Amino acid sequence: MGSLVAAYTVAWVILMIYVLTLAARQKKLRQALAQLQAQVEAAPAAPSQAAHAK
Amino acid sequence: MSSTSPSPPAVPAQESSRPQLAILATLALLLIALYWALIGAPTEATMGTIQRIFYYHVPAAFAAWMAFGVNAIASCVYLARRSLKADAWAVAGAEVGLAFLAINLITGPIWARPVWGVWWEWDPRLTLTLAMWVMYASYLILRQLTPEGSLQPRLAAALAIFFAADIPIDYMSIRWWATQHPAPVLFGGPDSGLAPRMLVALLISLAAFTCLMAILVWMRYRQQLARIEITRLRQRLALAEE
Repeated sequence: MGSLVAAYTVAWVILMIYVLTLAARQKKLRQALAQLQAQVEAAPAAPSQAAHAK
Repeated sequence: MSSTSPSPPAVPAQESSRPQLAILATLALLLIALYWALIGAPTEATMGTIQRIFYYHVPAAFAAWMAFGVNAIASCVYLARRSLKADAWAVAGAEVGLAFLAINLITGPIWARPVWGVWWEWDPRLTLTLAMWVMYASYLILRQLTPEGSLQPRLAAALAIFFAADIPIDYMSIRWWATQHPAPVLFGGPDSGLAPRMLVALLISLAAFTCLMAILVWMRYRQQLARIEITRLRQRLALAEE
């Protein structure tokens, strides 16, 4: 009985660790993507702003 | 529909609920599979309760083979078309397959110890399965260590196709050689087969693990696409700064 519990626990633990790893990675990617998209949107405005300042 | 009709939005409103429904359905299937594995299936006469590890051990291997199959097909498509989406599918298949094969490789010795008296035997099936895990782990490590560029996915795709040869050999090993590992219970010789309720438990568990594998591969694929988009945006920013 102990071996059966151990085997099923191991299976669920591996799956949970993998799913949590995927979730953490997803959060990082989403943040990085949002940050980069904001930078890209701001980038074309920079030369005109510089010209306006002159 | 004319060619001038407006194109649909990139992400339809309904699409966001579909993955959640698939995840919920898979979780329900996993619970049903757990019930059948622990309660629904009869206790095996020779080994007793420990035989119930079978309902996780075999589906984990099957899901891993399917995921590595995705990796192999996507690698072929990448080499033929140089499609970054195909490369993303390849990465997803390898990583998810590795997780499922880890379950198979750990549950096997837990089952073997009380039944065989040893944790491990270097018989063809066990050795080929361990070799498969090492091969796909090295595939992912190689992708991490080599710099991103056109050579990395090409090299990885070539390796993946080479590694995929282990999948049919691993599957056939218990048919070709008489090993310590038990003979196949499905599609084996005339002596193979399962009691009807054991077969139901196995089929439900196979379906649950395969659905879970498909969802995880799809999630990992989407992450890889996000990485490609991040690389593209970084290049665009670098060009804008020059």
